Amino acid sequence: MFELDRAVRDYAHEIAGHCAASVNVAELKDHLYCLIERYQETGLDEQSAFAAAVSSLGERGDLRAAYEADLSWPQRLLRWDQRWQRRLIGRFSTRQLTTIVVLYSLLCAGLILARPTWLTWVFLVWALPTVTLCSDARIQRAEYDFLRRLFRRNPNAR
Amino acid sequence: MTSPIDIPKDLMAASATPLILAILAKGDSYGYAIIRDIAVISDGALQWEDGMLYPILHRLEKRKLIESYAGQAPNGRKRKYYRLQRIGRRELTTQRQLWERLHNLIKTLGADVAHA
Repeated sequence: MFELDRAVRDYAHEIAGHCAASVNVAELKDHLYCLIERYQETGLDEQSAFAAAVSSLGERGDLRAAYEADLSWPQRLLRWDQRWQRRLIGRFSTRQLTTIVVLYSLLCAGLILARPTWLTWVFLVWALPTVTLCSDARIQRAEYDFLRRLFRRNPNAR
Repeated sequence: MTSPIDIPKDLMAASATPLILAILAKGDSYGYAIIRDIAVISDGALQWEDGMLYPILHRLEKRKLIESYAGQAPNGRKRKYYRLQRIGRRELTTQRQLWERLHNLIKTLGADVAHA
């Protein structure tokens, strides 16, 4: 069943849901509700009014890009990090992510302990953020699995 | 209500700043109302894509031409209002003069072509 508030929230977060932008999300949500109310006055039901409002706001990709253009460099980095984490979480299980983190860490440690060359340092500069990313993703994946189990056990909990 | 004008994107982008500043010079406003005002004032000729307004507003805010503050809609919903700053008022005056000069230039050139 269509839930208007949820649809509005998801849309606003998809477009402007990057760090330090909660005001922008609220602003976009307000605009979306104004448009929905206008379309509902013309006789459209909630779902159709939402679809019409979203299309009035413009093409999603263009909008996301326009919002992202306003980001500072640290925010962009964080956004990139979040995107990769989401991808990793979607692709790997907690166990697989743990294995990746452990293997990467062992490889890095081995390379440092062996005779490090400039190539080793290049590899480490690339590998360390990847290990951090996988490690963060692993924690989030574990949280996600835990919450899923919790909600499955108690479906009425919110 | 007139039919929407097919304005090229670059001209639309260039005219957005003075139009927004001019609307805010009349009083504080918020995104949806600004778009609605533009449509009403232009009698429907200028139709902006709603979503593209916010990145422009955020850029004007960064340039300190306008400032935002949190408010509430009559139904209690959170609303972000914008108000024109002193630098914004000066920018509006400059932009008005520029557009007027451009307009006069094009008019003069148009008259020359008509007489030629």
